[in-house]
Amino acid sequence: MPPRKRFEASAIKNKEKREQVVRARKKEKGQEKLKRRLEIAKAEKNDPELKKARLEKNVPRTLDNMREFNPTMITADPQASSSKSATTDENKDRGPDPESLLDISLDPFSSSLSPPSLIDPFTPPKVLLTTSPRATKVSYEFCEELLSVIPGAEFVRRGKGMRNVEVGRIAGWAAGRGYGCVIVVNEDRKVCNALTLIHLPSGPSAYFKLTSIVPSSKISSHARPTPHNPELILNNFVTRLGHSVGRMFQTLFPLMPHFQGRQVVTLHNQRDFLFFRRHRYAFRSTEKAALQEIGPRFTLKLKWLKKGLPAVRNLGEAPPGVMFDEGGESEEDEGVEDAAKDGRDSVEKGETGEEDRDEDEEMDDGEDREEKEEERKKKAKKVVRPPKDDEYEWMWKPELETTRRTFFL
Amino acid sequence: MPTFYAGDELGQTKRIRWTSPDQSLVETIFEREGAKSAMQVMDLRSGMLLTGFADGNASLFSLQDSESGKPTLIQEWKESRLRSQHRYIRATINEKGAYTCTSSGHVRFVPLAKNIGETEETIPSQVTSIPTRLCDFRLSPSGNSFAYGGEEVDLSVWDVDTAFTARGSPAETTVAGQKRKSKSSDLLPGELWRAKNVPNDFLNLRQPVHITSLLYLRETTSGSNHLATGTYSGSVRSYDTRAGKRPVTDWKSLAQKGGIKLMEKGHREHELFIADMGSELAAVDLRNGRKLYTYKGLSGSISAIALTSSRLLASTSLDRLLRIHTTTDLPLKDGGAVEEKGQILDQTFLKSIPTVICWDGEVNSGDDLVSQRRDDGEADDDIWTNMPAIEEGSDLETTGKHSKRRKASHVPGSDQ
Repeated sequence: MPPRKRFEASAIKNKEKREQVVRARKKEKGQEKLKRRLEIAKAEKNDPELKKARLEKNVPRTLDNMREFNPTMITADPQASSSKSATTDENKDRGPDPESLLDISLDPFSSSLSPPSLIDPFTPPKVLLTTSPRATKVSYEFCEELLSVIPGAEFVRRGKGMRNVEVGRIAGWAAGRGYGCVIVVNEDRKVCNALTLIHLPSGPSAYFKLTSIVPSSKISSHARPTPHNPELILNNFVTRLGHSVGRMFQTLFPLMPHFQGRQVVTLHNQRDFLFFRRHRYAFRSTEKAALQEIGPRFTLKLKWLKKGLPAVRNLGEAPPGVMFDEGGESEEDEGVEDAAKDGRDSVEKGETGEEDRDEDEEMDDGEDREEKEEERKKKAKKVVRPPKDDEYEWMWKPELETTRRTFFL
Repeated sequence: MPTFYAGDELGQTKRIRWTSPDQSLVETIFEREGAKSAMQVMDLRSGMLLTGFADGNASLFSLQDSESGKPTLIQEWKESRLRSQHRYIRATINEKGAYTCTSSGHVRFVPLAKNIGETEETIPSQVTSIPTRLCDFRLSPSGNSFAYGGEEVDLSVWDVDTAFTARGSPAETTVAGQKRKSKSSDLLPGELWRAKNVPNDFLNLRQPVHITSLLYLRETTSGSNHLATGTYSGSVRSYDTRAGKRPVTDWKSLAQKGGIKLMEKGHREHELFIADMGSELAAVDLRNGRKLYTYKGLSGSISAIALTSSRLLASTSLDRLLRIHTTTDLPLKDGGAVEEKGQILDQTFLKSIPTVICWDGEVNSGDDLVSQRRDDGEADDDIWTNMPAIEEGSDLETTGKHSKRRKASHVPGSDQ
């Protein structure tokens, strides 16, 4: 006998009867599903292996685990990351590619992250924090929060009128004065909407869109921050670009955290959004830790990463004449060389990296005062020029997001 | 199966063999010992590879007859006049020898060694000085002249022989730092021709001179050189040394972001590829200065491009990817739109930032992608010719307003 075709409830013209049939069918379906689930639960109660097998099999497909292949991913297992090139069995458990590691170790952040051993790892790098021109109270409040997050951060207001200077020039001056990073908080219509991180002296500049800012006062039962160096957790930075961004954030904080401060700053990357959180933790047992959120909460999204400092296009400057390079040292060279020499000298004067400034000065009593002052002057004169044009290591363009599963960090 | 040679910021030389989409073999063929110094310039010609590094060293390799696939070093030298804030801007190989130029205007000609291992002491290299603050330097296709341009240094064409043999320092003729008189056209000894700045803009302000890239479009035996320059403001200008000093054409705003970073001449007539300081790579029609197409999907600034004879283009960018692109024919009519746009065929992750790339010049039989696609087109044509044609006045023909339009692109059976 041929199978009887199931009749559609939508074919019933009488509304009351139709609704009745639909309700009955839905109820039946629900009861069948419940019966099925109860049977599975009963079977799993007796045999936990079944549950394990079911959970392993039924992994939901999300945008995160269906991510499009990005050739720049740096993973521990080269076999898994490359869906295209053939790799031998030998490469399976070798770890990330040594050339990628070499490239990472030689990037512009390496001098801050693997510094010469005599530098104190507890001293925070100098960070200059400023706003966009004509900022309002909103920016200043957010900057106050950032000052508590980043040890070593100094806030300077932007100048008004003629004293308002381009960000590229600010970065050049800050680099000459020994700052490690410049952070510019951009404000638009009473809302902080972007953050620019400029690594110095010649390092990459990154522009992030800033959203979902929640100041600590708005977080219920928030903790109070202390001036201890926080620990840093960087989650899910997978690609080469992600590594660059992660290392950039690493250079903001001192190398050695104060563990007794029990503060931790987390930057969690998920689908190219960076979630910033700051917590205070306390271990309740050796396995479990309780967290209390301290500081501001915000979300960042990388828009572009430039290779050098922000460019300064000085189109109005007087044109220099045609000149020939005679050779021999120029002033610029001298300034830079002496600064480098000075750096080494001042490091050599202190026997260990952890000596205080006072001790240094006591030791230097016997030294020639004049010589030291001269060196200090030359140190201050170190000139860093911003480039004439920008080069982008990465920039977001809408055409790059071919599918919803494409991510770059 | 084109093969490319790329240099990167760690000073490594890599060979990339691209066989088909999704399959490219990358191998590092040479690594410098000691401190890593970025490769700034590279040139490849008839099996010889010339590389220049940030610390001033330059090496000439031979890529032929090596069993292990590694290059053999023929010569190496160091540009001692190169200082920290300057860099190599161009390296070219000729039949006569190797030419390198720095942004400080130090040009060096190293004749080719007859035996391997001869150093600078045994073969004298000829040096000369041209103005400083240069951005680009090119040797003409015949090797008789060279041209340079830079920041407040206008396009200038020199004769190669006179430049090297003239006198020791051209600075003797001018005092360093003094502005040239605009009215007198005194050329430096060795200089054949110098361009004149474009007229003042609509506010009667002097337009700044800042050439960021240049190339020879054509060189005729009668001494007429056609050159093209890309500027800091994003315009592409073409010059004819015989026609005058002002540019023949000045196409403004060809760069989307910043200035024109790179320019390369395509193998087709009137084809030019430009890369700007953002992440744009575009093909330009030299007849009218219009952008024919831009390549979609680039995320970082282009650092170098290399063209093959089989209508492929390889580009390296700062996001550490090497991309292979197709290039398409220009429209037959001047001012028309291009039928098909260039596409990105493949991208390969090179683990460090590549700075230079060259094609090895070998044409393989299976290379021509264009011919492959033409075969597909012929197959399509067969389908169309085999379909039955609808006669006029038949039942299937549409009537009314649409009939004329339909006739042009009538597909049998589509009306039903």
